[in-house]
Amino acid sequence: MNPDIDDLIRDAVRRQEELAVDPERILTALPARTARRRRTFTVAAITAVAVAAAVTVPVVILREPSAGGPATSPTSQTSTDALPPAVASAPLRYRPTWLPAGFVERSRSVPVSDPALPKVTTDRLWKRTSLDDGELGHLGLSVWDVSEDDTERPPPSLTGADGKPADRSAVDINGSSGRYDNDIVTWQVGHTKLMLYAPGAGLTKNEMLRVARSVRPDPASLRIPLRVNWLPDGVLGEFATMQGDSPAKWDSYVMAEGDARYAYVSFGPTVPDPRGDEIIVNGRTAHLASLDEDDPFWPNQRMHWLLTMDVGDGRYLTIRAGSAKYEQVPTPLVRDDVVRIAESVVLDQNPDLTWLGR
Amino acid sequence: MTFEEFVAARLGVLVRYATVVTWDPHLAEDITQDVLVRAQARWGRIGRLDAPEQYVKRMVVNEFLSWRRRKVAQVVLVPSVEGMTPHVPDGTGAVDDRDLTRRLIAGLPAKQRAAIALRYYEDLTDEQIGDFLGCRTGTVRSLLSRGLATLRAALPDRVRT
Repeated sequence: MNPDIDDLIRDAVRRQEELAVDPERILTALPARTARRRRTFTVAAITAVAVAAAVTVPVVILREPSAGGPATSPTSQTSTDALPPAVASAPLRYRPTWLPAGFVERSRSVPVSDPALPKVTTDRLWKRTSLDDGELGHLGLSVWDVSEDDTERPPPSLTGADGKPADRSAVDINGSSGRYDNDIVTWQVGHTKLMLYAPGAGLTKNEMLRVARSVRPDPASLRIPLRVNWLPDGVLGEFATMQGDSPAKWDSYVMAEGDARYAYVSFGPTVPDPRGDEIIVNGRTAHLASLDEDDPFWPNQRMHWLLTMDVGDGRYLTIRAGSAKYEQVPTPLVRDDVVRIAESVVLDQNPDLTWLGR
Repeated sequence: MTFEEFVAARLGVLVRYATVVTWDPHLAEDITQDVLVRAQARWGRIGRLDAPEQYVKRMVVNEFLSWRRRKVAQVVLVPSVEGMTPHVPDGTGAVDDRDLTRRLIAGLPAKQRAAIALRYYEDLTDEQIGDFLGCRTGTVRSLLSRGLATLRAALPDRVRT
């Protein structure tokens, strides 16, 4: 009898269920995870990676930072030497020194909060085609730190339907034990985890391993072209991303969240659709809309505020803010929060775009 | 029910559920841990709900689909076919169909994959899935329809649709 697609799917989900890790592992790790989660962070942590920027070129300094911002005021950001006009930077940590032909770098993403925040990874992405083509086919490298406990954790106790361990090829990455699994290679260097992934990129196992084995520490940093000097209490910056296909087509943003609220602050040449009332932010015209709609980019986030502003040189600042759809929000973001975030943003109008598409 | 009682009784169910929703045991482990930490902090409220397990399961789906996970969610770990043992003896190609189905589901966009998991693993209605995914019933139908269309297009003709 020919199989029925419903039966096939039910069989698939049943077999997938069998791959679940041992619940005991989760139980064992829970206290450590809880401890990490309970750590408190201040908004100042966002600037922990910030460079004491020397402003030698017209950087849009929208406002003197609030009391929650860094100790230095914009007026103290004077030209002192040949330092680049970055407003913040963070180490990129690792990079592959070999890539298959055609892959160019399209995205860099770095933590902007306390490095101990779990699962805030440093990510780099290479792709043969445009980021916007909707296809996978990219090659990504994620790097994050794990605790000593994690280092000692046994490999996942995955089993097949017969109870035997499933095949997840063990590999050697420059002397470190790792695992190859379809389009993914993971390995660990000290307390640092590295994951190379290439969903849909069509790379062979040998190519994946060659890329993985070429990964070396990278002393370079990502110069983040925007810095958010103020966020509401409990909303913490998580990571900043700069991405694009070329120096002419790029975007940068800082993502922050906490207490079921989020704020996304982006800067780049993408022209936003101004909505809402005209307001003045640090002497510039902006638009601020009060909304109640699904965030177009983040599932299960409800967007309550949209602020857009032309910051000159064909570039724009956009702030989307709101709350998690299903969470109780003790202190929803209000209009003044969004305006104050906008006022606190410092932009670098001469961002380093040289690595995009290379 | 205390949080500890909930975990003792339902953790196994929860992690299996997360493994199906995410289609990735590693990500499921990670998400389950995160969700439990958050649930523990709010257990005073969650524990008083009529169906705390449903609430926590919805937290799992939200976490999976949330923007923080979106990059990771594109990465799906599918154990190699040769590592899997079929549930029943087979000589008809159905094993291939089953493996292919698993791989095809793994390749679906995250939201379609979650919708399929909720329908076929949890047996939820369109309305219930919509509640979990935070979208309208029509959107759920569209997600399921597109997901199934992808599977149908890629599966051999002998599979009855």
